Amino acid sequence: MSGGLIGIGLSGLRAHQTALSVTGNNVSNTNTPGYSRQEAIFVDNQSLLTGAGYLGQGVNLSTIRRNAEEFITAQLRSDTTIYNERKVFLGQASSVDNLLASTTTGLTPAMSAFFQAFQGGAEDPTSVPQRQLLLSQSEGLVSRFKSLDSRLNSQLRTIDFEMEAAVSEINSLAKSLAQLNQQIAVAVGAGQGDMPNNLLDERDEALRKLSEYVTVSAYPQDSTGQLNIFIGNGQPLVLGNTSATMAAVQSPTNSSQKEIALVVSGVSKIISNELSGGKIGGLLEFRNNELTNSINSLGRVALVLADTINKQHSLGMDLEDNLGGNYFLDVNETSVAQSRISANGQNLPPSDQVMQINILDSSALTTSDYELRFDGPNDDDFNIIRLSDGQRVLKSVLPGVYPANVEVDGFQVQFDSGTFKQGDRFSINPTKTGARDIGLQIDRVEAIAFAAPIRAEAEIGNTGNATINLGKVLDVTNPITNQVLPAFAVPGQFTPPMEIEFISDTIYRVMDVSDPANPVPLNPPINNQLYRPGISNVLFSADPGEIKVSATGNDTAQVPVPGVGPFVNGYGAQNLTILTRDVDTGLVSSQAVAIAANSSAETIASNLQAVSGIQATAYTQVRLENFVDNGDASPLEITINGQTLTLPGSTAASPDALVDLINTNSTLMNQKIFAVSNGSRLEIYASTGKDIQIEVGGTGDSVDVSSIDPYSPGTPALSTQTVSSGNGVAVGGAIDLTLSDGITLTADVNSVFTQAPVGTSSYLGFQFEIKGQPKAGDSFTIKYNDGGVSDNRNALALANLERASTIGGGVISYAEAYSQIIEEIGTVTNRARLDTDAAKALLDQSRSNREAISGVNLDEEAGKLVQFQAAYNASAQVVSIARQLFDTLLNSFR
Amino acid sequence: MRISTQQLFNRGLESMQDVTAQLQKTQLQLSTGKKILTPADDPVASTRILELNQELNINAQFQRNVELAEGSLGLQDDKLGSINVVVQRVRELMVAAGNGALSKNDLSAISSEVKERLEQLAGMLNSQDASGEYLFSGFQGGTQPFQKSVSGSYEYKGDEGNRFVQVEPSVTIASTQNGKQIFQDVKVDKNSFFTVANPNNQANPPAGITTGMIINQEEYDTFYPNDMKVTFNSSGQYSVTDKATGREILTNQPFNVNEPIVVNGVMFEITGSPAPGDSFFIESTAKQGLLTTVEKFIYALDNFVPNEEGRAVLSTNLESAIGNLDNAETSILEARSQLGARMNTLETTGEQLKDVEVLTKEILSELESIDYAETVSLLSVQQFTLEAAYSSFSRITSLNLFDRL
Repeated sequence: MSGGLIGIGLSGLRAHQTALSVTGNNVSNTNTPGYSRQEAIFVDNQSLLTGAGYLGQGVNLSTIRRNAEEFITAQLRSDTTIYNERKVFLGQASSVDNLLASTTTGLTPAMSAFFQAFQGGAEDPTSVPQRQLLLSQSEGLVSRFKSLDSRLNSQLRTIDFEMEAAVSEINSLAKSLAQLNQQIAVAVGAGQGDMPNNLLDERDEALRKLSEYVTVSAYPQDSTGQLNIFIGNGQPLVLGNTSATMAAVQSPTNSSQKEIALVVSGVSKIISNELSGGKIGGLLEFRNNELTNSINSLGRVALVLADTINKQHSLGMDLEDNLGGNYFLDVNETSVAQSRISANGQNLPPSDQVMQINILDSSALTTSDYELRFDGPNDDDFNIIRLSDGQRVLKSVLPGVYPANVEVDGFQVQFDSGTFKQGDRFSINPTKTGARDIGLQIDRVEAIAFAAPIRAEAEIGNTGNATINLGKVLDVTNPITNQVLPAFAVPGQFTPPMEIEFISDTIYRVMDVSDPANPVPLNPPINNQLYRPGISNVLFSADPGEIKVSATGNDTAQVPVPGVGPFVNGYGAQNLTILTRDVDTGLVSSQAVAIAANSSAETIASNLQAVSGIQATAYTQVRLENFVDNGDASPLEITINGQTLTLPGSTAASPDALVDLINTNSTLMNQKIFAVSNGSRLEIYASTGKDIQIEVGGTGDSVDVSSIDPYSPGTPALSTQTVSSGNGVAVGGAIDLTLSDGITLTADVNSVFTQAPVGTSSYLGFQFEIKGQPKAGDSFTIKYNDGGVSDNRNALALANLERASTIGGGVISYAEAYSQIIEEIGTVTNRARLDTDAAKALLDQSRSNREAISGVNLDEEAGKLVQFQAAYNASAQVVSIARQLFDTLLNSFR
Repeated sequence: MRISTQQLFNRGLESMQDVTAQLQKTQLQLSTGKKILTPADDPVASTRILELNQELNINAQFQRNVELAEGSLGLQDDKLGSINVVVQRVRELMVAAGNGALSKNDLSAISSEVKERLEQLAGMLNSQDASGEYLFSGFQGGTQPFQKSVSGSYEYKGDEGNRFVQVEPSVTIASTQNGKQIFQDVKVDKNSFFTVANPNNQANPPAGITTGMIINQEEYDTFYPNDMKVTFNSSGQYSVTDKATGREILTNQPFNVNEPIVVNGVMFEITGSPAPGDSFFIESTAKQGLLTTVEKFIYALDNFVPNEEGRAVLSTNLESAIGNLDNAETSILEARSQLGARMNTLETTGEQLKDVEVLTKEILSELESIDYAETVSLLSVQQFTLEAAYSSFSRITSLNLFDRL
């Protein structure tokens, strides 16, 4: 009986000693990361049935419990993942944010200085110091672009390093997790139900550390206590006691960055897209979205700037009278253009493809990267995918001959050579290297083109008050054929110099005055142009695709044999077919125009004018000479289009007298027929293309009638007939057609038009305007602006580009595009700050939750120490009492 | 809720760090005077700040352009003013030459002065600015605008270019005016002509053609506005034709150096020995340059024949010379009034630009500048918070049950 009391006392001593140890252990592990507070669980021993009922038999420790809550641990892990992801993202974003916006490192100050230098140049175009300043500001701008680009790219590199570090950390954590799994399985077996508390803590802590890097999910494996651990979207990292290895490998689509791969038996499979959360998730998200986008956007600003400045600069003329050429390096220089496309590292050999990406319309460029995919079913079939929105922007087939090219979103993919197979992929980065590749082409101040290469002048002898503007260069190369336009083909010259001649107050033509003494028509001709007083008359075509066709068939040059009438021009019947190709759809439609025999040029022109896309002008020119009056009683009489003009007396049979009669005849004036004379011969002109009908009256008199080739005046008349008294003749006119882009014309026979008239491009690449009231005989010359050192037209145009909407489909300016980047990064950083704060609060909450359950509170432990010590002391007293009882009993027998 | 000891320390430290970070940001705001330290602080406002700064830069450039244009226009105005003084002196001389009592000697004395004045005028018309650019040669700033031709008369070698400067986003103002506009495109009082040698002439040294004068205005008026061409053939004879039509007016005339050729009421001389094929033009014109008017005046004085007929010719010529000079003066005055109008515009534009600058700066400061009172009081609040955090932390952490055991 007293043995029972000793036993009870001893059990109390044992149990409380252990409980004190557990508390001591808690105190010692106060600052151990991941440690969970332990607790000794007391149970009272099995009672004995005595006469008095069940008697308690002391205390025992059932287990040492680890205070941990699986749900809360998992919550802590997931909050750790989110917080670390946001924190890393914020860190990266802040560094770009600071870089771009700072006045010392941003682009804005350099760009402002650059354009201010252009304004300065416009103000004083001959000043060499101004030009020098512009050159050095340009260098400053270029180096600012390059340094921003290199800073952004070095951030790519930093991200690669951080990912490598993360991967090696994950690998070592995976290894220790596998070992812990192993140890836990053994310990659980040995413990027969008791759990290895410290191993579980260690494993939870390792998992928490892992969750800093990437999203982790853990699933318990049967009863061994092991955990299977997956990362990202279910990539197995640890299964039981085996762990996988991860690696940072070269990206197959982008040689300048790394991707994360899972290595399974020596083969690495890229899983970057499957990973999210944690430091790795933050790095990948920042890199793939914001950083890539910033680099591309900056590249686009540089590219568009270089391209637009180059285009405008090449329309100008430098201090040495040469055309401007490129200001920055050509954006489509072969090596640069080739670097914009790269083959996927996983393409099958041979990798013999030569391709390049040319920038065609920089304003249409996006900031996206693209992928060229040969998706089959045939080797030639390919698609181009815009990666920003995943849209297929082009589906096409290789034509089989090189070079082939396709155009999309402002750039052109040019296939030069090589074999393409189904499955091949190529990354297209149109703007990525824009800021890296920008460079100055101009290296001398004299070569900066502030002037425009053309100018116009009114002849000082002009009697009208019309003025011509100074002109504007539209292109120096034909945008369709990419050939240098003839006007600028000879350096330092304007070929040919032109003169605008008014042959009446309202009709002008443009002549080639290479030889000022002998003007000849242009090819194609610009004859019989109607001038409208009161408005600004645009002289030339602004349509690069426009061509001109003239009626130069067999019949047009002939003067018919004179007779007694009826008088016809002798033009044959002709059926014309006009083919119109729709510029947008490529569809060809056909239209027939029939010309009846002997139609006047006026009628033919008005029939053709009715066809949309055709401008027709007709005019008739006739030369009269060798006026012979035999001096008899009936004087020389000439009837022109039914108007009989009598020249009084044989001595007056002079062209000068006839001119006056023609030019004062109101019927002829209404028909827009007028004449000029040089004293011996007379030229009659019908500006609407009416037939000019000449009848000679009197008796025994005659006049020679000739047609004039309107395309080469000065050369002998093509056809001459002598018309004698009583006879007459009708002379037909010429027709010039202007065809819009996509229109062709063919004829069934060679009469008025030749069967396949050759069209000549009428696009000159420059524009002039005349306004005011000119007078017949007035002329204006257009020539090269040599010596125009004080001209600042091109400098103004260049300076104006600063505010021009040149980017993103012609919507925003350079500066706006740059501030868009800043705004975007600023917004992202701002959001990341808020997200980080929120994630931090959540993490703190989870930590508190965990600490509330698993954390060690020293005050609590102190209390427990006192509590257990007291119980221990009391148990000792129980033992002592039991001994005293035993002693009392022994003494009673003594 | 249980609080673990570790948590007690961590929480306290973290909250102190937070307050320190806020304090540091406030301090940075105070020391830079800017509310927005990085775009992330306020992405929308910081983009706007960039734009406003850009606007200020452009505005400053426009103000500079206005100042420079004002300077350049002022210089031109000065020059035109002094040119006008000389023109008036020449006009006085023209009036003086009209005195019928003057002898040939008197007239040649006047002629000598007018010749001086002509050179003086030419020098002024060829004025250069501080950087050596000719003021009145249009785009041909490196080319002297009024140069003597082989015939010894002044020709305009510049062009019709006028330079514009940008003073507002969509406003450009001409900062130069070409000499052709001011001094060449001057309406004539009566139909007139000018003479010019074909630039392709072969003779070496080149033959010239004198300024010439009209000796019979009525006869010339009937021929006007046609032009004439004087061509030399291989036997040294000359023919005069209508330039446009080729009609012959004089055929194969014997040529004597410096002997006046009179045709259609016009008199002029061919100087030097023209080569066969050389040609000279007598161009009708409704406009006559200032220098040509003075040259014609000199020609008329030098070719005065002291008889009644000669006096009549001189007086007709003087009449048109005075008329033409008055027109030239009007043209100069017009140019000056245009300059004045432009300077006026520039002044207004300059003021507008300054207003815009002030306004932009105001908006900018609202966006980016801190309110000092507010920020300083925020700083004290944060400072107070931090001090409170320090003292509470040390008190709380010093509480420990073990100490009492």
